[in-house]
Amino acid sequence: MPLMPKRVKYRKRQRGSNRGVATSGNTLAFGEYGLQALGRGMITNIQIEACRVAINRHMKRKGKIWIRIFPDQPYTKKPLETRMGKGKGNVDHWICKIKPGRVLFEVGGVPESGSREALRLAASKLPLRTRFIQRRIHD
Amino acid sequence: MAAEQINLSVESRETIGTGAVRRLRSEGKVPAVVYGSGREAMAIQLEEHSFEMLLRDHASEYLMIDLSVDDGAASKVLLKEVQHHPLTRRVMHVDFHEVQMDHKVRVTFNIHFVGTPNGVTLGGGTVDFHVRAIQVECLPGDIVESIDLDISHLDVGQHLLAGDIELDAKYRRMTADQVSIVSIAKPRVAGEDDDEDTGAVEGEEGAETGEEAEGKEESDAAGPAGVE
Repeated sequence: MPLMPKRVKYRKRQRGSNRGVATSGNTLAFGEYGLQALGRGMITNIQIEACRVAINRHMKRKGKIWIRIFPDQPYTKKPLETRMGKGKGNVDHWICKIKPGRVLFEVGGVPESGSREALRLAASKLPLRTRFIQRRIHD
Repeated sequence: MAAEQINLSVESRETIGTGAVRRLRSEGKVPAVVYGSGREAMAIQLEEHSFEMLLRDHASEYLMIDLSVDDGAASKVLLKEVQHHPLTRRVMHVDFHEVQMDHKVRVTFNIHFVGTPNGVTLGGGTVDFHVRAIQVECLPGDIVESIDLDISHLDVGQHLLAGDIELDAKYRRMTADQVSIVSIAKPRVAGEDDDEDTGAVEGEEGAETGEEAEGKEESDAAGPAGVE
């Protein structure tokens, strides 16, 4: 089941703007490695699910994954071959608005090479440019 | 890891305001401020490249620095805050706190985890790091970059609390004793959740496992908050 809110106050909502860079959620908080957005855009709940499956499949059920984004914005669509008018369309899916710098996924408990490949596979499911990030290590 | 002597010479800054500091950054300088010890806050500027090299050489951003303004006498300051650009990670602004060496300060020590837990090598578990730094009160001269914590003896199901970290008498731990630092989680058992689509997932904003989400959706289906 793709991610979506349990309940919302209003079923349909205007989408607004998506300016600036991510001022929060832009650093690693849980895992050792992460995927950070470099571009701006929208990620759907289905894309998040596809990324999660790709990461889990590559990590072979080892380690841990954190999803740092949540699709809380409804996205409506009118049915095909419908004339304009007659009100706003039905909610088709849910999206998450992404600003540059936002950390999308984090993984931990797996070596760097495995994490890098898992997150590369996840990045290929997304409509944004991303980069692999890791914690600073000083020994 | 003992603290070393770090010298930094900076220039005083006359210009303030958004436009002025933007021009400053384009010249390769970083706006900063120094305050504390009853003195007036003073605007200063420093070389970006040399400061970034300094940060790169140290594990922590809590450093004691001998700061000299306009080649004057050096004063002991604590690197209080470094603001980075969210995307480029470039240093945007620095706060220096002038401290008295006989007054205690609260700082954050990074925890350096040493060893691989037995629960991982033998038991096949995974390490969950809950906290990677603790807050400590100490004299400015005793500040260290990180403290070592041996986790090699931990087995599956065991954990370490903040109270288990042994510190010298000169340090006073401000993080509560019950705060969990690290634990060794059980290995995921095949058959428990065979389908990879229901893998354990945690999210900052409440992402849940697939099974939980499905159950809740069914129960909510009749509610007025349905989306379709």
